[in-house]
Amino acid sequence: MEPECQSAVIQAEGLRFRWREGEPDVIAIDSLEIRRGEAVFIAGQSGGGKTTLLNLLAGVLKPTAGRLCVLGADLAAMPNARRDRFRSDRIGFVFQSFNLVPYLSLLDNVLLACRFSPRRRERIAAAGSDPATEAARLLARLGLDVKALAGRDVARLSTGQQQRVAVARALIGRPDLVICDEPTSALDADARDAFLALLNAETAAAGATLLFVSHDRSLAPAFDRTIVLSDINRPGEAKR
Amino acid sequence: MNAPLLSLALKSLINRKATAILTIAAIALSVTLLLGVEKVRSGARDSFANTVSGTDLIVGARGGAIQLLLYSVFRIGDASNNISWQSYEELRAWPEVAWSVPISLGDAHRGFRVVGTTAGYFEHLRYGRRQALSFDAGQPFADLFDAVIGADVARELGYVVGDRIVLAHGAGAFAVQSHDDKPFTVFGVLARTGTPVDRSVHVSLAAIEAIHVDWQSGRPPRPGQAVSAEAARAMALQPKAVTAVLVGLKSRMAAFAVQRRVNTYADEALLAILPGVTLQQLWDAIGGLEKALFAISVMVVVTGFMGMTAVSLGALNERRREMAILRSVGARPREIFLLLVVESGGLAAVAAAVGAAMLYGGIWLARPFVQSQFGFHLPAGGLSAYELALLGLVVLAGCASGALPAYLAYRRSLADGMAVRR
Repeated sequence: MEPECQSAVIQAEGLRFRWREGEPDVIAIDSLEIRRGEAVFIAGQSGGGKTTLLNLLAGVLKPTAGRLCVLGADLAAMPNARRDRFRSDRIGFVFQSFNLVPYLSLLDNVLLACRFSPRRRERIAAAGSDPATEAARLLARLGLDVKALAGRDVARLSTGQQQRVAVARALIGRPDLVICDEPTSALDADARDAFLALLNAETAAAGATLLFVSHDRSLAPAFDRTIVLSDINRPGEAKR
Repeated sequence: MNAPLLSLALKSLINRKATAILTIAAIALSVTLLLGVEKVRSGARDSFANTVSGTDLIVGARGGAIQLLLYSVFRIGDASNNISWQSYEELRAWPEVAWSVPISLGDAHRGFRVVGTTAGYFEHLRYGRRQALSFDAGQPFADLFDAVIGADVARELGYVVGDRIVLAHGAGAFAVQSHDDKPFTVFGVLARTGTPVDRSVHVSLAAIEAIHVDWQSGRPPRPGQAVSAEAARAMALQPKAVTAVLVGLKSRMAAFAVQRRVNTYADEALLAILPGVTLQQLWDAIGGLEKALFAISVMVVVTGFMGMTAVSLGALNERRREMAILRSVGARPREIFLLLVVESGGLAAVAAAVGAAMLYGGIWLARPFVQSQFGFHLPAGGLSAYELALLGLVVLAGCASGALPAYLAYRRSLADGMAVRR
């Protein structure tokens, strides 16, 4: 057996990933560790394996080789169905843009995270609330007035509003890890700073670890620690 | 796991109302066609099978079974031979025979067949679900030159009781040799049956004898040898032969035994058929058309579903983001697959329901018209088990046609993960 996964939020050793047999590795990270409660900025250029790494960390992709522990669970050894459940229970995700399902209401978009995760629903219930109330509370904390926006087609919200709805969805039911993939690149400077402040504050309030990926290094000061992806990832080198 | 999927599928469909409604409309129309063809098919088969009922055997001269059925019941074509009156007399006296109705064919009135028969015809003949003939006006023939006409004859020729008609020799619409020396009086008009009885002119067997009494070897009388109608009345009008005999038995159990006895009858070459069995043979023979119709309607349904698949495939690209979001909140690739299949299946289910409703609504609206114009009772009833099975298949086909886009989405969500490559 491999050594037990530690309590670190993310712990990777000898992590390798390639799309197909015979192709060069896209991800080749010898060591990566992110501790609980950290807010980490991962700086990476497009094409640097950024998105692939996030897919690995979220358990959407399975490592080709190496060990990957996320929240104490060995993702590489986990069956597909359990990785999907694991993600819905433990990880919140915010995309670069178009985070909302166009045919769902503002509230339903937030509640979507609870639909697939019994654990999130249980956590909300344990806190003495219900999903709809919790969603409204989070949206309010993020500066969105649910009542005023309720009837609005979500596609017609501003980009900043959409991103905040996505954060509410990521945070509802208090997941342990929030992963953001360039969530501010579609925002203008003012909206971006406000968004970053909110994101940091709410993630901290929820007790979640934050992993923020962007090509824009000017954002780095907002976080506890910065990892430059090109420093740790050596794609295509580790040919066996 | 399935409740969120169902609600997602529903909301996604509502979001694409226009496409969804058009897709439903296309498939619903095809379902209406499919069920309609099926209705006509079973209706035609029923009405076909309903043409004769309650008759256990039909006896005619030896020949083809279907031919005998065609001329005796459907009044199509002619008999190649007759049954002698003597044989008929013997047959009707058999202990198993409850009743027998002889019919004599060969004359016509303006395109309608003339049937020489006995009063027993109106008493014993049954159609549909053992319904007896009834009279709209008048009554069975009493006098030698009385005629009872079917509903179509009365309607198309505008006859009422009391009108005088002239029969013609031969079955053509423009038979040249007319029996104009012995005109008949319409004495009764039968109620509509939806069977060939509606298109028949019934007279007594004696009347058939009477109009041919002066004929020689199937030719009209030579000048000077003609016998007037009044003179004919005085003559012995004993038929020498009949074309066929409809037989009712005391017990249907005896049908096979009596049939065998007729078929092996020593004095004359006779043939007895069980009408139900021969009807089925005839239906099998002409059933190709109904199968073709059914195949065409199935093709139309398939076309509808291909349209749906095309639409669904087309929407797949713009839905990649949606799939990625669903994956990010923990939807499994299998659930993405199910979502698309449920959407297609749901559309198909609604379309099946709408299609069935359109058909039954249409039948309900058209029924009075069809009944009065064609004398054809459109069967309404509920959905038959077979139709329900067809509708079930339509829903299954809907799910199946959702499977291709669903599979592509499934493959993509496995490969792309949460990334949307542009």
